[in-house]
Amino acid sequence: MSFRIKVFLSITVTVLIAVWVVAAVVSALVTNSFERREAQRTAALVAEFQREFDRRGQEVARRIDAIANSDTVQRMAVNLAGPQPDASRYVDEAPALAREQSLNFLELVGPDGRIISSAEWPARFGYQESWLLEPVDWKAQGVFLKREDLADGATLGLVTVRGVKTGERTLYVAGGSQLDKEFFDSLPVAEGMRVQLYRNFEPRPAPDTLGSALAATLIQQVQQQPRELTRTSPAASISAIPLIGRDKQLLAILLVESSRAELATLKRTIQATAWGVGAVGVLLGLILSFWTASRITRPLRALAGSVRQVAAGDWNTRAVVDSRDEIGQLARDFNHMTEQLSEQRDRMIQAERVAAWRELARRLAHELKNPLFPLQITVENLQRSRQASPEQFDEVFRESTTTLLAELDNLKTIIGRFSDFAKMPAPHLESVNLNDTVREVLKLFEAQIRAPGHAPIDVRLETEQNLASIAADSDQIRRALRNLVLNALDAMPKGGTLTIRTQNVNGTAGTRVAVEVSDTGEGLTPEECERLFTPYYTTKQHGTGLGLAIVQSVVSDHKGTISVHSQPGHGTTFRIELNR
Amino acid sequence: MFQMARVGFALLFGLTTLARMEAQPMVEAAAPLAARISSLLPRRATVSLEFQVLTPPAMVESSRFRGALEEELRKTGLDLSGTTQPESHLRVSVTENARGLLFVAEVSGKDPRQVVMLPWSRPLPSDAKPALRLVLKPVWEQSEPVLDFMILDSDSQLLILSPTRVTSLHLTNGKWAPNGQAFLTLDRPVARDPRGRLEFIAGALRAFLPGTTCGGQFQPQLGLTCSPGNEPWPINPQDPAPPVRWVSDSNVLESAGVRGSFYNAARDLFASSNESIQDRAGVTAPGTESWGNDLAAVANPCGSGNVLIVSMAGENRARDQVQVFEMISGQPVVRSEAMALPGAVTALWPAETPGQTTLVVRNSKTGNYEASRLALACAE
Amino acid sequence: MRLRAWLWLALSSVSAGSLAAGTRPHYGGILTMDLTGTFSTLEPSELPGLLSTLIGETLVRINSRGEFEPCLAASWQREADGRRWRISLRSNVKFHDGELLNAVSAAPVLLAALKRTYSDVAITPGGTTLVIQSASPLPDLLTELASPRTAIIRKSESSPLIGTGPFRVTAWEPGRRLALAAFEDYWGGRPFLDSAVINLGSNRTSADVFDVPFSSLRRILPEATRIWQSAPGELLALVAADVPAFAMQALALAIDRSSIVNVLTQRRGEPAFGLLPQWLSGYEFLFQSAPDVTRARQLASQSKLNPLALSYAGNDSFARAVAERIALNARDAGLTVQPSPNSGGSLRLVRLPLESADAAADLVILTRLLGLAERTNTVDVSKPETLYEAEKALLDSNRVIPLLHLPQLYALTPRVHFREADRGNPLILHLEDLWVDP
Repeated sequence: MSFRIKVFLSITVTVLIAVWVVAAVVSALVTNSFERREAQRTAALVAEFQREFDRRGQEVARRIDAIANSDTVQRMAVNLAGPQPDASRYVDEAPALAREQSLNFLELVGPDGRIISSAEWPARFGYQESWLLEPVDWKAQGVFLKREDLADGATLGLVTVRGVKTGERTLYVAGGSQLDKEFFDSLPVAEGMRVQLYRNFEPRPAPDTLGSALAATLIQQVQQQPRELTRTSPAASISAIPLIGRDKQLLAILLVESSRAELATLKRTIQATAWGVGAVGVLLGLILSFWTASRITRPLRALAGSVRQVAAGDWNTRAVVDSRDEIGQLARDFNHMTEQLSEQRDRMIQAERVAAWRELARRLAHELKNPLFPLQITVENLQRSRQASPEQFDEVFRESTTTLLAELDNLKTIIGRFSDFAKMPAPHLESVNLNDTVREVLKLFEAQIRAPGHAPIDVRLETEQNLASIAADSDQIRRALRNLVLNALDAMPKGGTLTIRTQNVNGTAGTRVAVEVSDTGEGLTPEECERLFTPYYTTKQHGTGLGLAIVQSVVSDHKGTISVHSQPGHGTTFRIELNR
Repeated sequence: MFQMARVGFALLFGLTTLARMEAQPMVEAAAPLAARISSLLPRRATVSLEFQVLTPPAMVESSRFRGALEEELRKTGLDLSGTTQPESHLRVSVTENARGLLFVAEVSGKDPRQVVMLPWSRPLPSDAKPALRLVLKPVWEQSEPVLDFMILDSDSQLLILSPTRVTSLHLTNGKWAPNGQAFLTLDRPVARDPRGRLEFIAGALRAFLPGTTCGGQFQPQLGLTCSPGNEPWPINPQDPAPPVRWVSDSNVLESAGVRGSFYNAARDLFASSNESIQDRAGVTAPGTESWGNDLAAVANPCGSGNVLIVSMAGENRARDQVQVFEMISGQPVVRSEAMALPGAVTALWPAETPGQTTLVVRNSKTGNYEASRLALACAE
Repeated sequence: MRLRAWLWLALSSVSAGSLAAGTRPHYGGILTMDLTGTFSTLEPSELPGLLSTLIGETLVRINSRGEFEPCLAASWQREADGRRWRISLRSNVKFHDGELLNAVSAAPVLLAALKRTYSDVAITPGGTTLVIQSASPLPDLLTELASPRTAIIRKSESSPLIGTGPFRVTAWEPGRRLALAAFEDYWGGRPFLDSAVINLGSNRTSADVFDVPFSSLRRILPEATRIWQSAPGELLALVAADVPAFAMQALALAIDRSSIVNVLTQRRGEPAFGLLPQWLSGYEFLFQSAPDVTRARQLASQSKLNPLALSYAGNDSFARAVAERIALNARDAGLTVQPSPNSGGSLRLVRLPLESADAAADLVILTRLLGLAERTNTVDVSKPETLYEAEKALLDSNRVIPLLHLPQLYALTPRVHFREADRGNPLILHLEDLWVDP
């Protein structure tokens, strides 16, 4: 990802996160504030409802008292307390009394609980109102909610009862006002609020009668357990306040609905603003990123170009950055570093050359010393033999020349190896399938492995079927693989398992191909692993120590990598990865 | 609404009679009713009997009727003994409709209910027993108004004055049997509240009605000749003064020297048409506020002088009562307990027999005019 | 209840202090009367029963026992199996203008009235006799002759109606006021009153006599006012069209007539279980049944029923109160009944007056007014069970539910008195028998 994009993303993400956070915080604050205001308004409305309820209740009580104390009712009570009372005469009294006192409900009920006269349902004379006969102090009971059944349905009333006692008999005056539209119209309902009274006369409220499924659900919950509840939806917030009757039954539910349209609008506005700011932020980020990139990325790119050149081997590359800021400083430091590195590399190369010459000299000395010592002994033997035993000089001469020729061959071999190593050519690249190469190499060792007396070696070939072809020098690759197999076989003198695997490897630079050669020999220590690829380093008793060096050289020439994994006692695995 | 629709029913009807003079006793209905009931049931059927009386006037005779009915039902072969499970249930109801008594018998059991009915005329009312030392003796009853009556010829002859005729009856085997009548020729229609008075003096019979006076005899046979006019006549045969006369087309009397018109008079007290008891001068007599419009003077059998028998409203508003008062120093003093009557008093006159009054009461239940003699006896 | 008891009750409404009994009628005086109803013609057939026989009279009338009795006819004879009737007129009967009633003057009026019922009837007048004949029998002629339609009346320039009744017309304002004066030469005796003024369409309570509709029963009346009531002569009933029988049976079981009688009529009416009242038929008790809401609910649940509309006269507040009570009783039984004034509902609350004490004739009229099928069976008056069977068949058709039998009610101020007439329809107040204090 380019720096510009990173900058762009940083700025954009920062702006967006900031905007989002701010928007969320503002939205939350607004919602909180709104809900608080909503709650306050609801509470105020409920309080007002309660006040109006109380006020109306007092008014109802006053009017019922007036009726109970009126001459008409007093006379009626006296007459009904007499012998053979005739209640039928008073069947028309309640409507007139109710009209006088502007009451919606009024029933005059006799001592036996039978309705004498009913204002709201005149036809109900004679019907029983047993609840009035309960031993209750009606005056202390005060005003209460009651379901009133009318000819055309039921409604809710605010009622109270008074008893007019004459002797042992009591005439009951029960009446009140309807909780009707006028009552609710008198409540101060703020804009955006709506008050509804649900009469709990049906078991299941129909949502379309209430205007929302939320209200219907809320009502059902209150019906199951009468308590104050509030539920919120995106469109509205509804509070339900249960209204309980005299005998604790749920008669009605006051629904106070607050519209959340304003809040929704506000939130939408905040969101839109946030989006707008975010867009501006993105644009800003884009501009900044371009500007920043131009200020930062270019010199860094130039610097990176220089670094790539250095990595490619051109240690003399210099980054050209004119700025005086940190990047300019970085460029200058880079240049300095490359200079230092170049010098160090030169010195190191020099030292390595010296070390390599010394090593080569040491190895040569070591390798040559061995054949040279027998040469020397043999020549000395010849000298001694010529001097001491001239008669045996021919035989000694023959034996010694044989030995001399063998040692000379050995010398030639050693020198030949060094010569080969020195004149390894650049690889000739062609499309090579490593699976085929591996099989070819194994075929070379097949006879050796199967030779009688050879330690038992189990050969396992695990090749990937769709192994990608690579651009390589097949000879060199074969040589490298031969050396690895040879080393593996040498590491298992008593037998073991030789495993060769090929696989495709997905790396960041694309698909590479890997080949592993594993043995189950004694393994190598970590120190041995470190020095393994040093030319002439060997753990074997014989050999020039050039095998792995040749492998490394081939791998290096193919721009691949070689690694070794080993643990003492667990065998060793060499892994070569080559580019396609 | 007031159109009479054509009757789809065929009515079998006979001529009606104007006056119902005889009533059939209830017990005589048992046989015909039993016959109708038995036609609904098989012979020897076992029946449970239920009896109910829905009209109180029939209460008195209903127990006798029930016994008679049960006997008649047994005669038809029905078993009322109750010893076996009854097959049918019989309910007999004694009720009443506009025409009179109605016996309704319902038979129910396995079959749907069957009903038979038997109409019956109303029974005679029970005699009203005098409760006081006022002694009431019924003489005659009829549906036509009785304005006055006289018992003559050693109590063997009864003359009844009705609005349009005089009827003569002779006592035969203890019963009054009609033996003559004379229709009156009236110049004016009969007044709405008809009143009249009979007089028999020196063999001459006279009838005084508002606007008409009739004279004649009743023996050897009854005959009267009427002429228009209001002749004076004595209210009290025992006391010729003051004479009174009817006012035509009216039900009130007038007399010389008496202020205003009056309904009746006795002993200088006049039941004025202004609803008070007054003297000649029109001064209301104190203590007479509860008196009605009829009063008659009768000799006190247990003392001297006369007492007044006065009609007045009874406790039952449809029925009058009579009571005896004695005027002492211008104040009425009660001399007997009140006697309740079965209806309104339509005539109260001193009788031709001293110590008695003629009393006619219209029975509020039956509508018949009951003519009686009211006498006084000493209370024990 | 029986007739005599009703009449006794009528009399017993009079309070102490001004009595029919113990007080002789007083001639003279003017009576004022206020009636809530109104009428715009003086035709006797269109007048309320209270007034129909005051001006014009019929040849025959039906007395309180349901029997035909002479009125303008003194006697009659039925001949030739009812195809010929010989009617003897009462003598010395005068019209209000002084003209004597005779066959010649009566025949045209009578013929015109009878022609409406008998197309081929002919009347032959002769002196004081009318011979009425027809090709087919006229078994119900007497009922026709007792009907106000056959009243013997005349019209003249000086008077809107001339008859032979106890009162003559002195002033007539159609729909507003009728003034009557006593006919001095009335054959049945001059009325006690000198005159009577009748105000129509009036709700006032200041007149001497005023009618008391049931809706006004509990109205406070002037002090010492008494209520006169007739025998129960009006049937209040529910009539059904297209209502299933089970619904009608359920309704009949659900309605509590006693409460309606006790409260709405202040015990002045009677529960009705038959079309004819007990005092008239004597057998109404056979139809009686107690309310049974449980059984009514069982019947009503047989099938789902749409709400029934119950129609009643919109200007009759008593009918409205009864309709609402019926709706409430029906609701207890699971039926929905919706009262609605002046609407064409499947149920109708109707008020049907009886005309006389003739049970059979009244049943025919009720059958016709209720729109029920006529029966043409012969009813033998001597066998009242035939009348019972006819009435039972009508009730078993489940098209009518009798509710109440109602009397006529009139309030009488203390100066008004009355007494029971010798004859007379027990269903009406007889003005000719009223008198007033001076």
